[in-house]
Amino acid sequence: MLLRCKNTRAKLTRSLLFTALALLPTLTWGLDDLRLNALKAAYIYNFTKFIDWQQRPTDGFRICLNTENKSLIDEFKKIEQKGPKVVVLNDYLDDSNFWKDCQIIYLETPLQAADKKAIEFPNTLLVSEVKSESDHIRFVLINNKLRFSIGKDRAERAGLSISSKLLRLAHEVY
Amino acid sequence: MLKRFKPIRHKIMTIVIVSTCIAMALATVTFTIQYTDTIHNDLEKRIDIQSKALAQNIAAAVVFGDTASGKEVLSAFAVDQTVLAAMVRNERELFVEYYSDGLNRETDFSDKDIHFTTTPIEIDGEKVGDITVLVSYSSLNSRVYRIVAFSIATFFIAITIALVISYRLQRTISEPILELRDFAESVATNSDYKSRIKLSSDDEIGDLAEAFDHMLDQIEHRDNHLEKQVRQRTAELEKLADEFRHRAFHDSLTGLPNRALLNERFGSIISHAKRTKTLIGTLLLDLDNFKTINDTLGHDFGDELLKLIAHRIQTVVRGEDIISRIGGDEFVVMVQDIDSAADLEVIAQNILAELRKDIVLFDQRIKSSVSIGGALYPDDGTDLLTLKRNSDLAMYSAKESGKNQYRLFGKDMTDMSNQRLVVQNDLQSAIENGELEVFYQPKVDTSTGIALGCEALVRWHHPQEGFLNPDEFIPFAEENGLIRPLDYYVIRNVCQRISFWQEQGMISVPVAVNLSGLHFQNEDILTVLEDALTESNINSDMLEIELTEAILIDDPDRALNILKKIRAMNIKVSLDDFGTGYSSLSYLRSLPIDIVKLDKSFIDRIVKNQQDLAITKGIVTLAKSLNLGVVAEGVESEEQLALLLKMGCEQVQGYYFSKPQPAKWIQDWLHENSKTLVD
Repeated sequence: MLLRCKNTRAKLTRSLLFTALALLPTLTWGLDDLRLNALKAAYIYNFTKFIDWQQRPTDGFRICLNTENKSLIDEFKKIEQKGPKVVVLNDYLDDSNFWKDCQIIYLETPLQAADKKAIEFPNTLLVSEVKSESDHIRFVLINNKLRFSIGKDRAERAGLSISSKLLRLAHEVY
Repeated sequence: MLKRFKPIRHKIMTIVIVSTCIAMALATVTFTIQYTDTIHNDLEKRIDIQSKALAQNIAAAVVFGDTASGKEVLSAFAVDQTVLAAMVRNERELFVEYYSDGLNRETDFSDKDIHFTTTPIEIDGEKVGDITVLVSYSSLNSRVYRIVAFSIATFFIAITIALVISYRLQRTISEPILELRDFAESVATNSDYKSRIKLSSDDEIGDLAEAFDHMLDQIEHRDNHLEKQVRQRTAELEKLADEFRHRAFHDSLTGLPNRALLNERFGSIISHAKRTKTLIGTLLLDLDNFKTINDTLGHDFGDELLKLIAHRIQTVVRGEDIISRIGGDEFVVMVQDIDSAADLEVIAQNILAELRKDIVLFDQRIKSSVSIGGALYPDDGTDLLTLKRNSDLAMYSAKESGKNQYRLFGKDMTDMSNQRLVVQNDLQSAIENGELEVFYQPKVDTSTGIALGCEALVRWHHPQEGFLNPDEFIPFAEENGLIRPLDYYVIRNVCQRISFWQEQGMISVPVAVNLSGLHFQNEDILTVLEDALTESNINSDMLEIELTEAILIDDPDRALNILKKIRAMNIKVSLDDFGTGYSSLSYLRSLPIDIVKLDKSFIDRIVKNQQDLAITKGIVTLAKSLNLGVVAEGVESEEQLALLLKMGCEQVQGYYFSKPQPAKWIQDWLHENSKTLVD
């Protein structure tokens, strides 16, 4: 009997283990996404600490989001507790009246050319997820870790001075 | 403490070493403490700075979760070996950590040399994490220990170097001082004040050496001055000594050798006499009546007289003979190289002749004379004392023989000397002890034989010598002045006797007392007479005095004055031994006397010698014409008595009636032979 019990337990254990392993990616996937958004929000918030705008806003940073990721938006909203104002401007990409007061613009997708004209304001940091010709900071995932690349020259042309400390952390400086 | 180190070099070195030790110890301790504190502070500051720098640098990595970058930043601690580990925490968890080689998370960091320091990681004032650094102080402590050891080693090395250097350098101080000391000791030991120290030291020691030399200059100068003074004083003292010696051996008044020099030279004189087989003559010269001259004409006159006498003696004495003044008015002439007493007498006579010449001093002309006694060596003595004594006896013999003459010593003179000594030594006590007794010899009326008075004559019951008559002691008493107290004694005794007779209702008659001429040199006798009369309560006319012409020799005026005062006391005065003196007849007229007593020498010859009878008769007549009473002394026979009665002599005295008798005997005789004159 003991031998039988022993065999049953072993099987059960193996099954649970397999299931866990099978589910792990999904679990991981679920956690990574939340964490990732939080990190993105945190990163963007922290970018303000390592970047100098020519004209630093006196009433707090305005972070404008171009994303429909609600989770991300929620995470950014949490950041508002710390001071910055987060604005979601998905539908107004071509209207400069909406973007001109943003110090940071987060673009989830690459800008169209028209859009780009609309939001090419000096003193604005463009943070994107995908590579483009106008972004200043780009998020990348490397080994499941959120990293970022920095377009230093672009940022300088945009009137932004990026701290070497931030540059040092960049995965890539382009 | 320094007293334990006697040599100065030890003291110097001790001072240097001790001060160096203290300074070095202080410096070492201070340095060590300061260094330790500094490196601790430096380490803390460095770690703090590093932590802050790294905190700033790692802030981005923390906020962006870049552990790789964070580790890279933390790896900067690898250059600092004191950092054992560093941990960076974000708000939630340990972000990154660093461990130095050989250490890991399991390492035990509880060592007491490990310190923790935590620095916050902030971005824009917002804390995003903290960095904790574990620092090991062991290397620091090792450094401290090393530095302490180094300091201690340096300390001892410094002390050693100081010891060596001080040993060498102290010599620059001690050697000059020691040299100065040795020099000072040498100067003190050898009294060499001419030496100078050659010390080339350009400091206070050099100044001291110069001052020392200067002091030696002063000492040498003073030494020379003192030496000069000593020489001068020595010369003065020697001169003074010579003077003292001269004075010690010479008479200051006359310049003649004195007794001491005579004593000193006598030995050589004796030797010469023995060698030449000659005699030595000692002449002792005594000025006649010098005391009288001194008292009457003054001591200055007396001194000049002595000097003149000395000079005159020198003119007649040979050069080899020694003239000395041995005191007062006595001179001794030591005559050498003579062969007999005659030779000596020649010299003596020469001296006498020279000194008999008149002397004129201070417009005073006086006659001087000297009595000389001689003695011969070896016959009359072989030592100076004996010769002097015997010549002295001879001189006295010359005095007694009438003065102004020379006598050579004879053996009989010794007896007289002995007699003189008896009187000189015993008379004073004899007066005090009642050894003297007053005898009385009556004076009777020539015609009736009734006692009219008595003469008091003193006798001496000497315990050893027996019964001494007046002529056995009176002359010597005259010489030594004891005649005064003797006469005072007789006066008081006679007055008391008269008083006793009166009190007893016995026959009392006036009693005459003999007075020496010495009593007329001052008026003491007046007081004695007055006191004796007062004490005995008798009338002054019961007392009479007898005196000789000798009282007028010294000072006639004074003597007359005293005599008058005695007569003014109602005391009768008799001129005794009349006829034996100098100018007797003129004295009868000039002297204030009441009675003349004819000397025995006249009475002795009136029976057999007509001339003496005539002279005696003439004196009696003269005296009576002058209303003077006359008493004939020494009546011993009836024939004499008859002649005296015939010539009108009122009173007689002599053995014919009674020899001098004691008072108790005479009072009976008076009772039998007198009538009462005074009730």
